[in-house]
Amino acid sequence: MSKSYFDETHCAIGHPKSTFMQWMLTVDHKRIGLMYAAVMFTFFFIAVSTALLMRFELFAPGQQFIDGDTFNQAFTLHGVIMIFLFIVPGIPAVFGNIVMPLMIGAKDVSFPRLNWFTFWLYIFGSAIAIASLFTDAGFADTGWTFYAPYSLNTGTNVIFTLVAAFVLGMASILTGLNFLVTIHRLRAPGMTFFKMPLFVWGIYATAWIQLLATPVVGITLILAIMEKYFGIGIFDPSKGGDPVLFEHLFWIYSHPAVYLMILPAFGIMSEIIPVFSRREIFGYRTIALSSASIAGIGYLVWGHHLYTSGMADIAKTVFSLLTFFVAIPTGIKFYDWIATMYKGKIILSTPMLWAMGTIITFAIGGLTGVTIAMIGVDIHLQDTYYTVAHFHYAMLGGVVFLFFAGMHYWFPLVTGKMYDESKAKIAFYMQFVGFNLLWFPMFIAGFLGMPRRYFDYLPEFQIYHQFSFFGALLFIAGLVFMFWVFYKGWTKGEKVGPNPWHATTLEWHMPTSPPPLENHSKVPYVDFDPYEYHHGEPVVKFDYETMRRID
Amino acid sequence: MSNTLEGFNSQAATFAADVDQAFWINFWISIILFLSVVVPMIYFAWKYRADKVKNEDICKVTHNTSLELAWTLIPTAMLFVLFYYGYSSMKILRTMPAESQSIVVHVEGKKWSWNYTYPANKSGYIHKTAELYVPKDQNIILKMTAPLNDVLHAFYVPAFRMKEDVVPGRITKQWFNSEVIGTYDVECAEYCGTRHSYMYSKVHVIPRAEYDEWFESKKRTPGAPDVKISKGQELYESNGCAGCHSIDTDAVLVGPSLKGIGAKYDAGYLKDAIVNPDKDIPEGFTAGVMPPFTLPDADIDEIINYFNNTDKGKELYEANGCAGCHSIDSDAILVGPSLKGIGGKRDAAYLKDAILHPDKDVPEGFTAGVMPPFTLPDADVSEIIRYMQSAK
Repeated sequence: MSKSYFDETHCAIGHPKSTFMQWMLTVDHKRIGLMYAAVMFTFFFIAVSTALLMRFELFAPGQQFIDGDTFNQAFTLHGVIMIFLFIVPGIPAVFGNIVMPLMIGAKDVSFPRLNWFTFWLYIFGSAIAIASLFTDAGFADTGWTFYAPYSLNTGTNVIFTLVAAFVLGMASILTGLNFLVTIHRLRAPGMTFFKMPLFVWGIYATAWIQLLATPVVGITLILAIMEKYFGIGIFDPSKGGDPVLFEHLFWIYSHPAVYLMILPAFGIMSEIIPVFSRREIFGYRTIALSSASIAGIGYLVWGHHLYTSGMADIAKTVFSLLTFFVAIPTGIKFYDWIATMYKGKIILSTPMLWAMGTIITFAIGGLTGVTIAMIGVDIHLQDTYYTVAHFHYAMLGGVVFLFFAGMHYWFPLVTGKMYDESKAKIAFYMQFVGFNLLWFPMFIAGFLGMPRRYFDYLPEFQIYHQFSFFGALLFIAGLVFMFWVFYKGWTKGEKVGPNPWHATTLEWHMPTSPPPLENHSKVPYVDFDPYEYHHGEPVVKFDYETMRRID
Repeated sequence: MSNTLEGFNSQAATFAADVDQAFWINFWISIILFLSVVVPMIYFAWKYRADKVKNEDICKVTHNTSLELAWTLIPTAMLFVLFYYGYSSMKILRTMPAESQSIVVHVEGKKWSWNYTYPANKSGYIHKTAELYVPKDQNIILKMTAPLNDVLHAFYVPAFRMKEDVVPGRITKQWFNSEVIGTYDVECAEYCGTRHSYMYSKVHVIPRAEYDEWFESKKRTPGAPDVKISKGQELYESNGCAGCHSIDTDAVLVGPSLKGIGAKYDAGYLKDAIVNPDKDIPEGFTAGVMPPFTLPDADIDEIINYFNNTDKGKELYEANGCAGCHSIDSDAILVGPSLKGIGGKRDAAYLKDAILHPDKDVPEGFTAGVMPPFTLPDADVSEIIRYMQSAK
């Protein structure tokens, strides 16, 4: 019986005997990815619970369960965890780690020790963020955007959150650096950029954003800390500073960060659609280059968050125009995915259901984003529930849904086992229906003037909040059920071979299932395109011992 | 807070129709783009479902130049139509009318209240109000700011489709021209802390004549009785004290309630508490929340004077639960009839009878026996009646 990566590992320091220490010190990219997943989803559920608490409070006007200040801390906690602890590390930290090196035929990332250090930096940053929950002043109440001068004046514990965001940003930069070098240096011989799987393209585009945009928010957070504790006047108008400057600096990072989240998710979509259509993807180069162009243009559109901030009208016009340019490559990807399904053989397994569900929810998220890219309309909708619904459709209904799609898709790769397909489908339908019931009413409430971050609201908005509440219950029930299906699959699931989905990319050509410590037995030579099918079966076949083609 | 989002769909501001037009153009184009993705997806998923397709029938189509050009160029054209409408509606919203043809009102947003300062009228009097009163069909320019030690707010009138941040240390501008008489909600749309979700105000669009009459008078609000409220109360409201401290009830908003505060502390202490709030913080409250207020001594004396003479009649009106059944600020019928303007319709003797023996004369449309007789000391009854008469 050959050994998998669960049985043996390389460690950063020494050769510990205990299994626990082997996990803590592991430098294996697959184990690190799994540990990221475990920690991130723990935080994810904390943030989901916080959101549920807010939904309970918002079920009726007036105060029921928590007071205004607690509510303000709750949505800050929700935002900080979801953004900085969950979705920014997100898909790159989990699947970028687990799958990307396998896809390019590498033994690990370029800097495995740095990868290990980065993981612990992430844990350290998360611990700082959470620690402020247990201090006297309490968790920050600024919202995850930390807008000055509120963040400089509030009595709550903003310093912990700012430092945490800085440390987590550092972890993000190092992850990006590591992946960039890995993709440039460790691709299997023969694998040119245009022979890489599209998920690797997504990770690659993202890595550049992590490396180049994150320092801006790091500097901004340092300036905010200097301002708050040493009284220099950068953002605080009472000291001669300018609060709008903070908004600019913050969004110079945080808008590209949105693409940092979505591009790897689009990568997952591009993996799943051809595999479950059993044919080559339509428009490979277009999809690859659209990822790169989204990453590029994405740097120049941050000002669309500031249409009502007091910015000059000419600047608004330029930012609006540039924003429309981002919508174009995104739209093209969608048509390419749909065209991939044309005359294929559509297998509606759970990963494909999630991918198709996401096409619906992300289309809504993207198109409502176009609404608020229109300046005049955004002046009405900015900071309302319309905006809240838009970014949850894009982030939850886009990034996280595709994250879930990837979890179903790569589950047999990671665990060597299969979950219960019919139960997993029920979990999908519960979440899909619950999700739409939860968020769609907010578009209407927002259009009618329901501002975001309101602890209490005018009675005519009650009906929308109540729909959302029941949607949230259904969504969370589906979410818990999905994780239960994963748990059962992992503990009791049927063993499957290395390639249960009949997929083509290299991560499915492993000598053992789950994969061994150092991945492929030999480094393969890549003289083929990533999604080559003939009559519904993968063209390229390997002898898994020698990694020579046998087709 | 009882409040309603009044007049949302009335197309109340001249540019609201343009914003809505842009929104609906966007809506229909979005529907087209959405269907152009989702319909083929569902159709293909059904048409090429696994049990209907033989492996040999799978086609490998990876490029189709004309199709790719079509789905690049057509949506691009649609997007630029949307960009144009976003731009053109913004132009209308953001092109300020000439100040000479407008009323320029200064808006101050601060935690957690709005106040409005008008230009001086003919007699040199400057109106400072807590709600905005404007004449119909008139360009209004709002010059908005927040105190330097405050935070960001946003002045948002959903009915007018307008919003702009209020930034400490900057003056931002908005304008509107309303064609429909009515009352519209103002909301704070930029997160500003504890009572962000209670930072409402109202825009009252009133007939020109009514506005002019009020503007040239010294009345606090149009339609307010001539009974002048005390200078202290005016200062209490215009400085936003009411945003954090209730004075009629025991409710704790942000700071402690000031109900009956005049009887508990002497003037020296109260003055200190305004000028230097952190000097003595009551138990359970945090230092640093309330900013020091630098006001002229005379104003502070007026406010303290107001603390010493809060409206006993109003207190009794609320303490006895009258407000639970009778609205007094509006015409709304809660359980019994509204008492708005009752002082002008009935004399004191009738009102006293109506409190002590309600069933003696029940107004048409209401039922006898619903309201219990109230047995109160004569002095209290007179106070309540005085309050009813003074309420607008």
